[in-house]
Amino acid sequence: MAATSKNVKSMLKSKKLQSRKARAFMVNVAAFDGGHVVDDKKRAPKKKNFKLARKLMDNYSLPE
Amino acid sequence: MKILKKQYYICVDSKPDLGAESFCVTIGTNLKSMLRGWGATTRISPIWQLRPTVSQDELKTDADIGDPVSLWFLHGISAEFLRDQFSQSQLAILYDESMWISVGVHSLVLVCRNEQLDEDIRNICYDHSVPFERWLVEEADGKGSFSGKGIEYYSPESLGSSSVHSKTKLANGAFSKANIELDDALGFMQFELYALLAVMEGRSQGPFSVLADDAMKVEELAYELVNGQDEVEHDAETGVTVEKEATSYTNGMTRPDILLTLNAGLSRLSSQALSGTSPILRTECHFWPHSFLGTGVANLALRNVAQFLTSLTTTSRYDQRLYALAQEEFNVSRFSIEKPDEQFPDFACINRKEASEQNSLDSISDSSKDLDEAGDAATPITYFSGRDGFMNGALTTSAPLPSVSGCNSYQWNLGTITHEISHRILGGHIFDCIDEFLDEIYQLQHAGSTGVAKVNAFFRDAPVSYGSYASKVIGRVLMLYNCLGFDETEMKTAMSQPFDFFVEANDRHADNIEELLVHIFDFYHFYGSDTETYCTFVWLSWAVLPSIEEKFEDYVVRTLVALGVKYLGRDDWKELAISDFLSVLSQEPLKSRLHIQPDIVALLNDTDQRFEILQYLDMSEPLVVLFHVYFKSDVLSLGASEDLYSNPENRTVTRNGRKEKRYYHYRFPVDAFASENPSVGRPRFTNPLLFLRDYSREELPNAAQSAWLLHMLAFNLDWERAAREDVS
Repeated sequence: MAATSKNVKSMLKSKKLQSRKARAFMVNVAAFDGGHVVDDKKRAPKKKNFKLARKLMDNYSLPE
Repeated sequence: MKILKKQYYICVDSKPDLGAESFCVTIGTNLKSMLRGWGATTRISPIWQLRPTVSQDELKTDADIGDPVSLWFLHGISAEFLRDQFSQSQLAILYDESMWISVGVHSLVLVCRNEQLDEDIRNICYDHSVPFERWLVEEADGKGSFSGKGIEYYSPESLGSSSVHSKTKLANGAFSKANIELDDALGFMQFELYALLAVMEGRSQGPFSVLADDAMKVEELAYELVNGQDEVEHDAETGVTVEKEATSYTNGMTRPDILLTLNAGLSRLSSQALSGTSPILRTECHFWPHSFLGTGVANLALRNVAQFLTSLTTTSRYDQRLYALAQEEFNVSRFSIEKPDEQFPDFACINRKEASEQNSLDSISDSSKDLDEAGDAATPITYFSGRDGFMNGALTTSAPLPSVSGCNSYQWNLGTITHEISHRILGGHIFDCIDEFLDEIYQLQHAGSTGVAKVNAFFRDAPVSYGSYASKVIGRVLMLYNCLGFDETEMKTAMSQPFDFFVEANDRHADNIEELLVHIFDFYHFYGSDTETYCTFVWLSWAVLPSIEEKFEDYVVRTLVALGVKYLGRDDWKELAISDFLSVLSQEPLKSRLHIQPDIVALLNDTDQRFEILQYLDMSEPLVVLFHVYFKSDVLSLGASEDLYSNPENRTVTRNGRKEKRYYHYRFPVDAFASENPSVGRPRFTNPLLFLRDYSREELPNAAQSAWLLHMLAFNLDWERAAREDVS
């Protein structure tokens, strides 16, 4: 059991990370209630600036 | 033996005023009439007629058959029991609307019209320890209605009876730990948990007892997680017990969360699977279309698929190996390096072809000390849910309710659960990587002045272990994805507080990165890199999602990243993945069954949109390399692709004008389903994934075919042989 529970604990810790902003629990409760929680942090960014990502991929580093 | 496609319903009304065991049962196809006559005690379940193969000479006349004597509900057996244990003349009496299968724990229903046969059925059940209820019919109207007020119960001692059997060791252990305080929310949740476990233990017997065993094993884990027992340090000198900081994963937020999700899963499972248990009249199922007999067979089928995946992971010791690999030194000099520029560090420029030939995980020795922690992984609590659909939780996994009546079809195929189980396998490891990465960035931010140059230097630093390599790759992909919201000036400002930037990146993109890795993992290990099967199964299961039109671009990227795992060694891997996907989209069934097929094809053929997709693939490429170097296990993949009973030549059949691979060659192949008389075969198999791959390929859901498939998954999976082969 030990190794598996280690993995499950890590999964739960990832929820803890979200709950820093007190969201994880609410999101889960809402999921069971069929509710819809709009999480603005998880919206896709409005901008899609591929230029910077491209530079980062082509040069490995961010422009200094 | 045939199973007829036409769906019937068995409907019961209790008549408490005539006695606790009085009943009026109707078997028929007129659902409207049954609904019109619905009363406070009415319950219903779908059933499908079994028809034995008997010659005209053996058929009985009405005079031989007579009026209904009794209704029999046989527990936990599949249709082949009838063929194996009943003689031809006995089956001939049951030829016409007298033999039925259900998906409840009482999986066979017989209408007996012959006194001698009535006695024979009882003796056969005694001989084979098959629990039953025999409802004595006093009146029948000749139109499918039977009433009476006497019920005979039989539950062999070896299986235990629900009222008297002693608790298993697991249950005794669990209940002795129960620490229930009803004065707070958490205490009440624990009360609910132990009540649910008691129901599971008390009602499950025979082949369904594994459901209770699984629940007890999960309780062990839940108990540990909620109480944090293993994270407590006892100071021998002071006698003080101290909670280590690490216990914060079970803080006030997550403890109720663990119990809430576990209780919800157990509640669904027990009310679906263990309703319709004996005494049937007093255990109604709240999944109302199955309120008479419940869905025990369907739940056992789903559990067996999840258990197969869990045992694959356990026997290949995937978890333990990955933890051990994370500690191993990451020696980049073993790879050829292809640097486009001196700015690139070596570990980011591993030759892709060499990466794709890696098998680091399987090369971890069995004697490595980290492998000592090996133990049985707990099978998740599985249940059906119309609301949750396919969904993974820490201790639970759900499948959509329509799978109960449509798992023969692509869209409600139970094989899709491999995706959810892949989340279970990878989720914790991915989080560990992100956690380590964020810790390092936190230290960077708090070590003094920071900025772009320091972040660049951080990403160039060579990782020392496989774990830190994985952590850095995932961190970099987080940065690439979060970059999309920034221009250069904004990024320079953001890099003065890099921890804040990456916490936001984690919030926005960690789920997507986990999805990308899970898709790669699932495709490679559980679909054996079979593009046609993978694309067809996942896209037709997504097609039923109401919001699919709004977000299919993300799913296209995930699909292409997964397909790319086959071609990583090639410079044109992205084009090859797109070409493969377009090829599957151009064929049936996606061509006409996937309603957004034209939109996907248009997306991939539009210059601007294709450009964007290619950018996402470039941004995700480090994850594909990471998969090969870190997460890939050919031992796991091999286990998921083998079946001791499958046809080694992988026979091909032509259906709907195209060739399909078949793993099995039973007497009654799936093609027979096209006829009105699908047949009940006697297939044996050790790999439910391959079995589902053969028999969940119908374009439309069909309840009779699904019932057959669920019976096979519940009762015909040969665990013993699979275990024997594992040992050898």
